[in-house]
Amino acid sequence: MFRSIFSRAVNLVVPFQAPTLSKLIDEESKIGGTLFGHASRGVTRRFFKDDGNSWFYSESAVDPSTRQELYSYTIRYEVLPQGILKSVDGRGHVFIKGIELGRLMQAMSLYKQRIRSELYQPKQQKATRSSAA
Amino acid sequence: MTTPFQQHPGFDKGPEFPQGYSIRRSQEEQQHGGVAGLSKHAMDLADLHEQGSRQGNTLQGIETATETMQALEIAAEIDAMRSSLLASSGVESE
Repeated sequence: MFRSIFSRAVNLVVPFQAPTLSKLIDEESKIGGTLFGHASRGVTRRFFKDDGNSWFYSESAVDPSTRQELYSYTIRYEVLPQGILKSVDGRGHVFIKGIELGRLMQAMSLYKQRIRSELYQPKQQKATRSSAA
Repeated sequence: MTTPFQQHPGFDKGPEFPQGYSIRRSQEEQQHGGVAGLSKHAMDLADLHEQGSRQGNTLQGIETATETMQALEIAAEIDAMRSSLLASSGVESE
């Protein structure tokens, strides 16, 4: 029972392996990468919360024909008592505000909802929907 | 540099994610993880504060207090989901 639940939940290969925090975050980051709409061919996105109070958005692009990397960057958003501190590839620290802050909050909230429904409680959601119908 | 948080009007427009991506966290982790990384991060923060003081800027603490609290609540809920799953599978820590 547990095996099938966890295999499905964290997409583990058989034979069963216990999920680890790293694997969970990795799976979450794939879901997080889908929150930002359609990605062009060759573009890869990840968005996730680490095991602390930081959130990461990474994006990279390769030329689909040559597989040569075109660009890549990682943005870190660190939640601090003073606000949310942003840095791009470890540089340019600035507290975000306004539209960017609002959209980040929206992304965090959606991320929580999506990982809950797709990773942590997929069977529970299905059962709830069935009983409500 | 513009980010999706500055650029796109909305989210959740559908999954289009290429497979086989190797997560690119090492650079950030190297900079912020471990004792040396923490020192580097503390220096960055000190620079930021110094720069802000020189320019007469105040930090966004008051304006973003609500968002910060909200972000901490979301983070706590996510941590709880992770812990719950790990605990139920017998994993206590990595």
